[in-house]
Amino acid sequence: MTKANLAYLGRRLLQAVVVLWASYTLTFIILHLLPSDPMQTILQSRGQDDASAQEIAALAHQYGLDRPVLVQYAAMMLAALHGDLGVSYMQGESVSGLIASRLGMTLGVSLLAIALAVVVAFGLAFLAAYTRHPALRGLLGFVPNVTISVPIFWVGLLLMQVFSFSLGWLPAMGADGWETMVLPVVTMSIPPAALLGRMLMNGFDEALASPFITAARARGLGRGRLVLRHVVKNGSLPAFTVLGMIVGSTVTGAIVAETVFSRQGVGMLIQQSVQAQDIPVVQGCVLLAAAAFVVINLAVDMIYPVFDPRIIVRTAGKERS
Amino acid sequence: MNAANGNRTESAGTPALEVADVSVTYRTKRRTVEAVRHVSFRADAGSVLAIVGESGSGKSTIVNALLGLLPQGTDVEGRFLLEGRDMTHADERDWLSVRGGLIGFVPQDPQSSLDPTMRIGDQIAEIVRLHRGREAGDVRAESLRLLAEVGIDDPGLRARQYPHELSGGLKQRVLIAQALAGDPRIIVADEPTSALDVTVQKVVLDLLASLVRRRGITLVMITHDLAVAADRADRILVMLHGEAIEQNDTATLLAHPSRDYTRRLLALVPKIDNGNGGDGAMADGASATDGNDGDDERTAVSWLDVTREYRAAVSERAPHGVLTAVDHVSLKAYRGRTLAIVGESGSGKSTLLSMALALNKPTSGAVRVLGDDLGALRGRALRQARRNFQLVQQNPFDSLDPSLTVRQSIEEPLRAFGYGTAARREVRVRELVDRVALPQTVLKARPGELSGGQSQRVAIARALAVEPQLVFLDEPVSALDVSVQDQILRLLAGLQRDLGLTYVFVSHNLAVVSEIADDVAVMCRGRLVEYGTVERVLRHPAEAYTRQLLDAIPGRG
Repeated sequence: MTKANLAYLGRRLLQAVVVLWASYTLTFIILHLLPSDPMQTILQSRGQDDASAQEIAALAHQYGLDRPVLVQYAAMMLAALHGDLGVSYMQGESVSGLIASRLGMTLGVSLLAIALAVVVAFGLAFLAAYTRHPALRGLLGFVPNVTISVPIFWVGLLLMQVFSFSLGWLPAMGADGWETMVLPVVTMSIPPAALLGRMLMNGFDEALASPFITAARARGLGRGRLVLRHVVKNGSLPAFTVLGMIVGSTVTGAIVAETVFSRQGVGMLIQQSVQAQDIPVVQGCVLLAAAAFVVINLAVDMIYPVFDPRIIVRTAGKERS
Repeated sequence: MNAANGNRTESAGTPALEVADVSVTYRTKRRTVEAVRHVSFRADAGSVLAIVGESGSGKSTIVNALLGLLPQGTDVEGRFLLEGRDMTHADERDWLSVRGGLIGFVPQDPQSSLDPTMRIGDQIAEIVRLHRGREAGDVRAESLRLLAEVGIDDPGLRARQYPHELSGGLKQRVLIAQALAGDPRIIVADEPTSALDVTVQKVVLDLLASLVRRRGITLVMITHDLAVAADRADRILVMLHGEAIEQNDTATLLAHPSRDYTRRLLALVPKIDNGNGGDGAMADGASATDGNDGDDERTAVSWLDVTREYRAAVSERAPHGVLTAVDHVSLKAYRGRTLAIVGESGSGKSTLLSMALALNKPTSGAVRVLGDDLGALRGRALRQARRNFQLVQQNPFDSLDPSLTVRQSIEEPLRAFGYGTAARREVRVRELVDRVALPQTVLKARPGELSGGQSQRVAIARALAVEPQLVFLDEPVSALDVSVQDQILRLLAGLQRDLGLTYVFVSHNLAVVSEIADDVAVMCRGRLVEYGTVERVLRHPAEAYTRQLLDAIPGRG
């Protein structure tokens, strides 16, 4: 790695830290602007709804909620920097432990959903590029445009209605065995598949129309080889850059899918903690999602030059036009 | 009329290529377009046929028909034979057996005709493998041999590089190597050099000609440039609006053109030797060579010892990661005259222009425009100064906002400088449209509905809207057809005469320069090579580089 590349990496890592800090802080501000009292959550979860004022004060002191907001913020962040994400108001457990215990379930479903989305999107785009039948092309192009605007909680409910209640093929809820993963994975894969599919189709169309494809055809390359060797690679480049967005969209997907299919994953945890104003847990989850987003984007930027040799990692903004 | 005058191998009997009464009609849902009507021609084996025409003449349709690349649902009538084989209604499978192997293709634009994500060697090997299959023992060795055959030094290195690491000329050589990979007997070259610098153009055309001769290949060359055709072809076919209006062997066609259109094309081939002494505008004191360094009021633009450096990837021209785009250049443009800055790509001519437009600052040195030091102007003062100098860009299709009507485009600078009331502006816009000889009906049109020439006229009208004294012209005609080029050049000359404008004209085309410029600055790799009046520089060039540029112009024998 050259000095220039190292400097670039350093700058990007600094940016990543800023993004993490900003998302952490923004979440903190929003949660504190909400009109509810975290003490209520703590008392409820302990079954101490009728606690005396003295007990409440003691608890508030224990959680540090009696201090000014700015001091709370500083203390939470300082602790977070040391790896301590605090204790859940609702469950009394440490936030990191809570997330860790649920992460496996969400991660499995999310990765499968992304994998499914990639396979479906590439399949659609490849078929659309390969076929020379205009009606079929039109139909294939239509699919992502429709699915991108379908709300996924509705899809989830629909799938559940058909495959669990009517056909009885798959369980509607729970988290035991692979059968319970099918419907959540399908549900979660739809938005990323639609987004990716649309990007890929546009990319493939653009690649197909470019002069080097015409030139390659004129040299005698057949359609299949043309699409496989030249169109797929060049046409996928723009889609590659939205990988970060796709990972982001699976976080929201997980929240919806886990709620619909009653799975105790991180998505469900986020949903519950937001509702209960369990600030430390929400903060921890946001930090996790932001970190995933930042890491994926950084990885994409680092890997991109491998696929597109024209991109050079630059140290300075000055470029020769 | 094409009977007995094949001046080459007549023995073969079957022509390599025969097109008999072919018409091509494109059908879309909305309309049908008859792109080619009843065209007949033939190319004898081993000969060079040039098809000459402007955009819309149907020459690209001919290329696509020859390669079976017409879009689906296109009607083809007549008969079209490749080495006696009827390909008129061939299907994709038939074409796959012909393309690359029997008929090779050299595309127009080297910049976009190679897969940007694949190494050069792999792109050639792909074609070699496709056509030679197993019999080509060592695909890699064959690829390198092809690269060497098209005159690429160090094929081993080039094979490992990606297209963006090669110059345009090298890329065009790679494309020629790819066309040769299938060992074709016919090559169709679609404007193979129109995207290249003139000196590179000459080298590439020489290469193509020698390869074709050595291998006995029949070459069909498509070009808009009659001069290129005249230099290289045995026969010339002239196309206009989808019809083949004239064809003959080159010498006869040039000596005795039978159609007015051909005569006009011939007349438009810019000739340097004509000179343009008729102007008489050259007062002694204002000549470009007067060596007076003072910045008097006759000077419109002066670049004073200007240098511009960019950070760049380390390369041959930037050994320390710093590219010197302009290297200590001192140059002046005089009022009421036209200074042409000439050079090939990368010569620094565009950088000189952008610095004079205050779009770019020199690393050292100063640029004075109409008496103002641009480096000292900021904010409002710079904005007011800009009123006096305007720009007309190279590509008229891209320089107009596609969402604005012509009226809005021309009115925009008037609004920007707070010119009069709405009614006043309307009058001014109409006046401008008249000035550039466009009908008032274009005011409502959007750029998509205009031709290249019309778009460029609108761009000129827009530049003139705020009554500048100085107009920068960045290759204003290089994207246009020759006959349209001529009209635009005449329009520019007329406007200069009527309005007393100063032009600074950037061009790579010396022939165009000889028509419009008074003074010429020749740039090469950031340095000013030669500077003087058109008369002096083009007729009696002092520098070898200038002579080289002049020699590379097609149509000079």
